[in-house]
Amino acid sequence: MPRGTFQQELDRLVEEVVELGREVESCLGTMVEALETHDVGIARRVFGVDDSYKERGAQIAEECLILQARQAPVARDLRLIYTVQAVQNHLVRAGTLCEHICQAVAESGDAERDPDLEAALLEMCRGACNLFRQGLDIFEARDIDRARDLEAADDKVDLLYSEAMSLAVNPGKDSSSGSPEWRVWAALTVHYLERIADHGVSIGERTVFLVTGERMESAMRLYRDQQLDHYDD
Amino acid sequence: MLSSLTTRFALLKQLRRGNLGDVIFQLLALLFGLSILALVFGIVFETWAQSAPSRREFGWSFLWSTAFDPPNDSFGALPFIYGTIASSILAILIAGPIGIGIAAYLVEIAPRRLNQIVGFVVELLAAVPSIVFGLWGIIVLAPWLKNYIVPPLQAVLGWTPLFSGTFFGPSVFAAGIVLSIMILPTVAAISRDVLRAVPDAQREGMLALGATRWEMFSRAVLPYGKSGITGAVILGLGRAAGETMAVTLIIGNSPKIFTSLFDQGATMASIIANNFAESRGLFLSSLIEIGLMLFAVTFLINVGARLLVSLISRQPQGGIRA
Amino acid sequence: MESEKTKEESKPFEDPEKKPDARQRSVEPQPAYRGEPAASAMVAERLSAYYGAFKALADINISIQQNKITALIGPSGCGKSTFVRCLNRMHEVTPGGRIEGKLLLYGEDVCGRDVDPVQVRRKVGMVFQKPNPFPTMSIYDNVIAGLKLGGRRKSSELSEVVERTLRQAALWDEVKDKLKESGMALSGGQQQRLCIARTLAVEPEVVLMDEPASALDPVSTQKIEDAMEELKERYTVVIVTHNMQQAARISDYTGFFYIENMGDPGRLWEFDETSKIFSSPNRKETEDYVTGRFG
Repeated sequence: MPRGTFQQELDRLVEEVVELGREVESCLGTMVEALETHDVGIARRVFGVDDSYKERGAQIAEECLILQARQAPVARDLRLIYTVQAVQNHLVRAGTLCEHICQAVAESGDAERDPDLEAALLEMCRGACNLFRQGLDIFEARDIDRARDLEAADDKVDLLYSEAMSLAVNPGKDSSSGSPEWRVWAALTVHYLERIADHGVSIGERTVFLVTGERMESAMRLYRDQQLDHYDD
Repeated sequence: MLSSLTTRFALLKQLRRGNLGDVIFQLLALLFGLSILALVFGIVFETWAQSAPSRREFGWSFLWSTAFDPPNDSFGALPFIYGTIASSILAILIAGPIGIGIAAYLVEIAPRRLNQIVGFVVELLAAVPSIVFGLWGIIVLAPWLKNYIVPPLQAVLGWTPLFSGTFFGPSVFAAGIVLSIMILPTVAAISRDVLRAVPDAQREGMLALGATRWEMFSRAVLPYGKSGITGAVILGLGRAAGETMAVTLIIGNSPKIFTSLFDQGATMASIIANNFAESRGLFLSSLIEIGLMLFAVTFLINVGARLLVSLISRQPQGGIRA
Repeated sequence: MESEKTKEESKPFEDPEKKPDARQRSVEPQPAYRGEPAASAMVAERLSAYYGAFKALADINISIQQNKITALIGPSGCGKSTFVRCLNRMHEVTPGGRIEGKLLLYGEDVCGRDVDPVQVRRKVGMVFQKPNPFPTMSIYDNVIAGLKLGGRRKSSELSEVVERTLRQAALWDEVKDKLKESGMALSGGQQQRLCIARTLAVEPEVVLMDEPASALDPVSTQKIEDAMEELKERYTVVIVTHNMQQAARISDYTGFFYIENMGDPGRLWEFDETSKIFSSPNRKETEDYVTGRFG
């Protein structure tokens, strides 16, 4: 195939991004564990990943820049490089948020907790991590059929978000509502988790653009219109 | 160290040693190349030597003397130089436009098959022996001219000195026409090659501006090929000047300065051919001097043609200077 | 049953679910032009071109937009050059060259039997791949060569035309002091711009360019591209190019010519806005070609 070297470079670029994504994903796994167990030791394992992710993200961005300068990519190559840059950014940011949450876990170590809020938080946490993994899976497999599932999953996370937020601002009257510091940490964590979920959804949307050249929103709208036509029958 | 030096010397030796086959080839080629020079030099030398008595007797006046009196051993070359130039120019005036026209037809218009046929006929014309043209001229052309061409021509242009007098048959006019037919293949074939060498980009460039075929030919193709066509015409002129047998038969061989095309005349080649067999002494020497001058004239025409061509083509020609 | 039918009727390209599928499927090679309709300078309808018995182009349908640059790209031998040569009927100059179908210039048929190709070429000018100034003419005479064909004009008028067209071709400043010199004394890029000026002097409606910069260095190429940007203010430009980046840089619309199988005639495979062709073309062959994965 012509442009074999270029194709190899593109393939390697995607590999690097997926690899970074998988590492962020495993970090998120650690984060879930830390949230579940309140184990400061586990939380501390994540400390420092932010810097290394940022560095690797910057490296991927630079490779993209060089490829653009040297190979003048167009069409699907251009979309790939554009998408890789965006996905890289989403991954790095998700990693940053993950470290923030783990720091929160470490600092709120043995604070008093609100069990209801914590339950909502944990459920949201699993949902967000799931969403992130799905987004990454879609990108790796270029499986845009599954991209539309993301939106439904995201709606669920959003629902959990508002639920958790309302729990955070409306503490119960009894003593199990946890310390004020912990509530603040919890609110922040909920917010971060929502962001992580959004990054996962974005990765999926970028993949739709990568494959079809259409923006996710317009693609989804067309899809929905078609679904509605369906129901009319 | 030593071994590396020896290998290096061996390499140098290898690089320097010429190939034996090449050496032989070069020597042979040089020999043949020089032989043509020797030949030309030999001809010039021999005619120069043989014409010595005539040159001693008449000196430079031979060039402008009109005398031609074998019994009194008085000779001059002017009528023949004049006759040569006049008949050649007449021939080229006729053959030039027609030859270029044939070339234009072959290159620009004729379909490929016709192109091949006409091209073949033109080349065939060049292969017809000179004496055949001469016989045809005297037996067919001259009477035909006398009956059909000359009367109307004289009716219209008879008042000019060029077309005055009586047309008997053998004449400068008939000689010019025969000559023009003889040099036509040269002019046509070379012009055709020249026109064919004009890049299609030139034609398309002109056509794309909205030119008709004629405009394309006259404004793009002809100007582009003008140096080559000039060369073709002058080469034809050279052939006409040197042509002997046909002219000898039809020009009348009258050693005088003619004013009318219907007069009889003589060219340098025709006077030699006509008198060589029965000439002796000073007469023979004079004829050889005329031959020497014919040699010089054709030489000058050819050199002149080269100069003209290079002068015209000094203007930048095709090709991209990127 | 009914729902299935509806699904099939939905446009395949706009459906994210079916799109990859649709790309693999062989679809009718009719370009779907999706941009907003503007005024068409030239329209070809089912245009086919032949060299003798050989069909070089088949059923070209294209609408060339006024005051826009339309680039034609595609692999060698796919008929791009043949197509532009049809547009000013230069194709018929080639032995055996024949055109079928309809070709309209501002609604007027220019391909009919009673239409004089000479008149068409005055309306549709052409710049060739290799610069071909007339070597025996001066720069000045080269520019007005086309004007002189249509009868004499006042020399003051001619001087105006020479200056205007040389400016349009971005050559004026370089040659204004040597208009009487031979055009062959110019560099290749200058010669090509001279040829552009020569074409403009006839004041055509459409300017065709057949790989005008393929024989030139990057700086000359850039100057010609700059000149083209100016040209579209007044003219409609169609350019054939092998340089895809050039097409991407300068054109508003891009047509991709392609031959599916050896020996088939060339077809217009996809025609769309340039931004679309170079970001997300509709057809796989187009994408393979513009990304350099062709062959």
